[in-house]
Amino acid sequence: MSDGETYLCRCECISIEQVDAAIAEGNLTINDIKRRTRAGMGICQGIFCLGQMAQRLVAAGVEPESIEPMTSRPPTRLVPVGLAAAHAPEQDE
Amino acid sequence: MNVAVIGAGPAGMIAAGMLARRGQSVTLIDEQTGSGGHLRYDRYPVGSDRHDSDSWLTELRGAVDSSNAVVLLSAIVWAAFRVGDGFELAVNHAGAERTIVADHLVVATGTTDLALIVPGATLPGVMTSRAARILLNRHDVLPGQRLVVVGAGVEAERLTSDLASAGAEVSAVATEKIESIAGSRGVESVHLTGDRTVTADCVVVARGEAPDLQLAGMLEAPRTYDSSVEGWRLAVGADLPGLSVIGGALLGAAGPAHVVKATIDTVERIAPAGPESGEIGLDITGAIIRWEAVQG
Repeated sequence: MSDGETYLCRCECISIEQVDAAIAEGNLTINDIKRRTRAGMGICQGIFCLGQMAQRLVAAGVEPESIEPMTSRPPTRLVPVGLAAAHAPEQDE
Repeated sequence: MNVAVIGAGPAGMIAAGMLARRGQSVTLIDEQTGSGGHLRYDRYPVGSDRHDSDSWLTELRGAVDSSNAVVLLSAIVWAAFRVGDGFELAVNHAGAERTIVADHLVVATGTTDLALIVPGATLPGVMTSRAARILLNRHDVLPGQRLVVVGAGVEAERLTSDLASAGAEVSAVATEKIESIAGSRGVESVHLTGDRTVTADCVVVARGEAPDLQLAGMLEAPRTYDSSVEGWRLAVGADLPGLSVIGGALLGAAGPAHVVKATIDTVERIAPAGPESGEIGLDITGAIIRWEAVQG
């Protein structure tokens, strides 16, 4: 059943109002909105919501060309923990 | 040179087939159970008088299978790293850990359908255009009896006519007109501007598609936001040592001719044709014509 909310990030159940409120607080980058709200941190890793978060920034007057996507980090898809542990890449930092 | 191609859609298959024929050690990786990308479901319904993409898919598979390219299916690249001058990919290959090392990486990850952000858009029965195409064209299932197709582009028009010719009652509605979707256990109605309500059991979101650059982004490929596609494109003139981006991931919803030309140009840069190099084993010009016929 629809609860009447407008979800911008469906994985983490973050509404468009929560994202707009975060922008009004001064979170003017995708990474800042993500840290403030958790939008983009769910199972799809931002595939469906990142562009929509950017559209909210554009609506708030942010220059489109200046909008960077959130930092892309592994894993891109669900991965069993045992399988992730089996892969230990060289860390250079 | 070891080349890994991520994404076995048409662009990835052409690149893998050509590069393997030019002497490269190619691994073509795709998370799906079969190669072909959108060609696996992007065909017209059985009985339609329009061309069907199966023959083009068969040709592409033939070109890849007759080369030395290794094809890994059900293989999810969940991480990509630069290691030295090359790359390391962490792959979940049907549940087994696998590491692919490559000197050159070709990203052919395609596109993602745009979402619809209105109240009720998370109800069962709301789906993207490619989900509806997979149901209709791969499984011969109508996603609903009374459908609303949301969007205004070519894909919205094609899908509206394909669903209608498969026997559904379909209304096409522009995105701006959708106010909300309502229902108890699934879609029951769609509310439009001007106090109009349409009874529906399925809403298909065909608003367009944006490049999928998630893995390219993990390798720090610079991206520029384009509000006209509601997504990011690879930055123009980006310097990407050892990394190439092709297909929908580069061009979005570009036509086949653009995709094929850009793919061949990329192959030329990675491994220029020498006197000894074989050809892809595909009638490329004929293939473009047939692919365009598929896309209407």
